[in-house]
Amino acid sequence: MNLPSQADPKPLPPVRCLVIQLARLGDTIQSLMALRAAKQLYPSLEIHFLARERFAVAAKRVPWIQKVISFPADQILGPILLGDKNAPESLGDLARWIAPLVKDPWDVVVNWTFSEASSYLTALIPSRVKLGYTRRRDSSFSGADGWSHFIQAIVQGKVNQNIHLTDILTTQLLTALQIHFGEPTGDGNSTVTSKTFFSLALNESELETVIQGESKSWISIQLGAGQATKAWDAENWAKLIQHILKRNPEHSIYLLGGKEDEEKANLILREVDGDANVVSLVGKTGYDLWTSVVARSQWLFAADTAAIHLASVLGVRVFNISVGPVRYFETGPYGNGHYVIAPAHICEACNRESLHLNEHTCRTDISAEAAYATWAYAAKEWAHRRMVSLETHFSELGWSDKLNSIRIFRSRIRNSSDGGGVQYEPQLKKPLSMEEWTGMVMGHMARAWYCGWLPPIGKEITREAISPQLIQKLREISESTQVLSKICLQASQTAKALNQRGSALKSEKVMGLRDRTEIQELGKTLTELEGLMERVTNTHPPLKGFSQMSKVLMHHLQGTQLSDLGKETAESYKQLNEGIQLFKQWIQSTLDIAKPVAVKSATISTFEKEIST
Amino acid sequence: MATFTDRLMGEVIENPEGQERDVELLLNRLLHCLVDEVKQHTATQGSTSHSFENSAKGEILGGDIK
Repeated sequence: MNLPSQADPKPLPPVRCLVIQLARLGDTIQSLMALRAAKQLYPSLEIHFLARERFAVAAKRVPWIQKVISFPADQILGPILLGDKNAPESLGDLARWIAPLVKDPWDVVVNWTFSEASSYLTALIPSRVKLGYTRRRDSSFSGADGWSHFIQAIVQGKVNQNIHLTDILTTQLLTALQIHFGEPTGDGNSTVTSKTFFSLALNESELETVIQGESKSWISIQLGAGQATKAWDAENWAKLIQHILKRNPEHSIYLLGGKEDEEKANLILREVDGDANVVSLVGKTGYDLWTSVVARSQWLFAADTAAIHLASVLGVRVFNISVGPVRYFETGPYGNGHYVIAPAHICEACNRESLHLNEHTCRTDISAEAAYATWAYAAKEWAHRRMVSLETHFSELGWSDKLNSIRIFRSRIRNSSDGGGVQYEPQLKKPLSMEEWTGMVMGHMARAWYCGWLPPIGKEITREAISPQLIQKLREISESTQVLSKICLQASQTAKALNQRGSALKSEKVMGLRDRTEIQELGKTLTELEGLMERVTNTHPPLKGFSQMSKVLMHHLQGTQLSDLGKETAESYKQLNEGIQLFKQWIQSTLDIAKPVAVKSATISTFEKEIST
Repeated sequence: MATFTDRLMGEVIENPEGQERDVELLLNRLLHCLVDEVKQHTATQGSTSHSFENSAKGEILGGDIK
């Protein structure tokens, strides 16, 4: 009989955790992936998952979720939208739905929706610990933790950063659990992804009627996307399928999608002339069948859809065609060995988030030939072991010209000693853009702010990737980072003075004229410095993150006394200045990598050798 | 003991931190925001759900800092 040793940690009491995810299916699956990691490390977590009725099915198929709570949007919001009920009448319906959620206090409420509506819902629910967006006692907005500030200022503020959302959610929750509930007791080394991530209630005979030819190597293609501007054209999919079937007869194709994708599927079936190796399941799959088909596939091809997250969680390799206004480094496929093909440049319509399809010139950048060549390379990795370059591979196919308008990335999970998380490694020798460089720096900064430790600076930059244009831009903003740093230092000192003045006051309501004038002057100085920071960052868009972060931090100052606010303001500017110092170090490190290195020529070496002999 | 819904109109609910909240106000704002989200998404994307890309940022970064 094995008795537990005295060193064995005591099992933690159950931690009741409510996760609010009112976003779409892709966000739901990413949340489930983050929760899987937390559940493995904290087996005592009792997870209750709140989702919209339409997307709750994914959580319902996860066996370690204690309870799934559906938000009946149609039932509560439908009558208002149809004019059958007014808002006061529907308020009672909403209150009755919320009543069980607020009955007993929770240990943790995690709001991963990051929306205004969800912040009010989170505020209503009593809990010991809250993460994500909520409301203060006076109903003003509040990001409950540092990562929420980062999401608000940087991720939703459209500043480039390279930490995947799944990693942000995981780190946010694990950090809070460690602070409030102690060290993890579970195994952190087991894999999160698995073919059996979901327990599906699917009739085998139903599955067999659609899964034909078990011995075939299947590729599933999800045709649609979250929005039209992010979808790849049906003509392109058809051409890609023709290239695959012509050169790889062992493969067959499943077309997947909702009813809205039926027109696309029909066009593809016409283009491939009714080839028996192409089977359309578009509009015919519920969640279980959809998941089963993806799980049985060797590859999933898709644009920016929930399917890439589904395949990631199931451990199926993803070939992600990333067109339109997509930030693949935040929401791309998660895991090792996925491929992302994206336009070489962000088009003007993507920058202003136009919803007009024809304005997105980036949509024509990825050709069917480029997509085929990239996938063929990825699918044969076991043979060439990536010893052959993608450029050579394209050249052998006679499609080198197709490389000009694209970028290709391969996903990799970093070692924990390098910071962990997924990264997308460029596979083509192309210069690093300013946007990519900024993304690396902002990601690094977030780790410094919220994880408390740092991997080495510039480790993921190679000398070849640094172009003269990048060097020029870095030199241009270098001086502005010095100015920003001075602004933060001065603001921090001013805020400290405000703290000291406030602490010395007997009353904040009744004070001498001199005290009042001095406090007003200090406040005025802070306002001017804030305005100056705004002007500097407006001149250099890569620095925009600092002024946005400053606004969010200033909004979240806590305390009612002048002295508290002064102290918190000083701390906020100190945090910003730490970030600016990192930014400066990145500039210097990149410029150092780009410096010419003296190389001994062969002639000199031979000459030296002759002399020494 | 009055239930949550009984206490709804004009009542307050107390949470463990001892803070009192005006339930009616929060519920009203929640309902309005949910309806607005549906209207906004139906108008732009034909979808009734929310995504990461839309947020409360306008409230903070748009200058309404109070």
